[in-house]
Amino acid sequence: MGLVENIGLYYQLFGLSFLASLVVGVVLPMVGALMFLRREAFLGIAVPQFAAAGIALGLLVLPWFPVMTQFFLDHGHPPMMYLLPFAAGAACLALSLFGFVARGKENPGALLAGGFATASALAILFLSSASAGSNLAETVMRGEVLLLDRHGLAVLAGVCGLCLALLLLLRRPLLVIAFDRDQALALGMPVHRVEIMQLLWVGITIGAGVMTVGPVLVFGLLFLPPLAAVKVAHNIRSFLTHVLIVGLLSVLLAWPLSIQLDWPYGPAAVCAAACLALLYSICGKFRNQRSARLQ
Amino acid sequence: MKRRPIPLLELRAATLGYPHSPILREVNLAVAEGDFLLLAGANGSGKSTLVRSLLGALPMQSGRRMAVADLRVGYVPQQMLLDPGFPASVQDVVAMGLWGKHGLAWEKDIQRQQEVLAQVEMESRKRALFGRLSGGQKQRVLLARALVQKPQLLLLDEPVSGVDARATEIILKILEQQAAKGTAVILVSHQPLALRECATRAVLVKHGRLEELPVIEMCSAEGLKKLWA
Repeated sequence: MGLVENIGLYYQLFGLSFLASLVVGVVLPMVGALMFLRREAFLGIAVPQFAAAGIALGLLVLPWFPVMTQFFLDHGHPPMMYLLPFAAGAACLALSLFGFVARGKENPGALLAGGFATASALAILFLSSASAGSNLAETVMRGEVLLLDRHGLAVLAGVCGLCLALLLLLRRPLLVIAFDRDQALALGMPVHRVEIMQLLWVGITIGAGVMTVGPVLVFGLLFLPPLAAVKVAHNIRSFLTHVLIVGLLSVLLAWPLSIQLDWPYGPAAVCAAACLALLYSICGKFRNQRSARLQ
Repeated sequence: MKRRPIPLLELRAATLGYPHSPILREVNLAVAEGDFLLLAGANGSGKSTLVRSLLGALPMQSGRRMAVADLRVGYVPQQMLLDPGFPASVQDVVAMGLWGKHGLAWEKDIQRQQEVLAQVEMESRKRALFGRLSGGQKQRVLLARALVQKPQLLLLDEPVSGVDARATEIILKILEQQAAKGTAVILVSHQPLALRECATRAVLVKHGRLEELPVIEMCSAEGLKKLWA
């Protein structure tokens, strides 16, 4: 039986995961676009790793909370709302550290690399000391979105929906601040408030993303769509439209790859995004050459 | 006796800079409608610190900053400080000048954008990517962004630095017209000679202090000597 004939059956099996992939395919690339425009794309690599360390910490201290432990024993994972504060808190901490502390430093890359290494080490140490959940954590880290349940989807959709609403509502101050922060102040925009709100929601969204679909998919969807879109964009609207297209295409193309080749979903989506970024890069080069000839 | 106009923006006994490292002390500066103030100083003298403090982007260490209510400030930064990879078109950049006002792009705003682009002679490049323009073109677009909101005060940080003669001529002509209409202009430059025709006041930023000089003196060989000494 082929893939196409069995779409209904696959949807029954993986419907929730499919919906989750659409949610992250829309929201994470938009969050990444914002980081890219603020010249903070480098944060995309460290922040999800911090969120992963936060999840590991949550699993380590799980025995301190008997109700959560019972839920874990019944369902095979702790409640999402238990893990979310750990993941989101760690992501917000990383964003504050790198976004504010590293600003103006001579070598923010070194600070970032140090942070990434520390977060990776902490994640491993917490997991190796945790009495339960290391299997679950390994599945999450591999990006096995297929195991997502209704509760996880609800948390992910709620957090991502709020994040998207906030991005839409604050799109103009966010864009002006990203382009020219001083101009935003000259226009009387509440720059500090907008930045703090952005930091919180981006942190919570990345935390929720890592918790449900894993850091690999989060890395890929934050980085690759903006990188592809900027090659062909001719204004802000076209940039954001292409970010959305690449994000959605990546998560959709990953499904046949994952099912047919038996690849873990997260890495499959990242590979699809990387191929699209390459395609966009080639198209962008051709377009630039053509416009140079016309000029 | 001629009454002195009410200042649009004023700094009184201000210490400017960063905590534990003040850059300018005892700053007293006021600008009123129609003033064309040239701020001159060598590189690293604190001109940009002063501009950012006037803008409210840099908190003052002490002193007072007073501005008229709802002051519309048009700000033109140094174009090289902006990300050349930012995927904004010329139209996007000019539209940003209006985004503080309201959430929607009204018909009259779009018309206003066309007007200011025509004024800076950039209408034909309105769909071009901002990052791909030359230095002079970028500076003209940033001036259009400042003008689109009909500012009461224009604050420009080195707008003619590294800019070709044609762009310099266009920028200075527009600034003169704006000052004649009553807009206050504060222009930072380390090349005061080019501004002797338009400036009505000149302030030298040196050794952490401000010194007001006659424009003729500031824009002369003697003024330059003082500037670089």
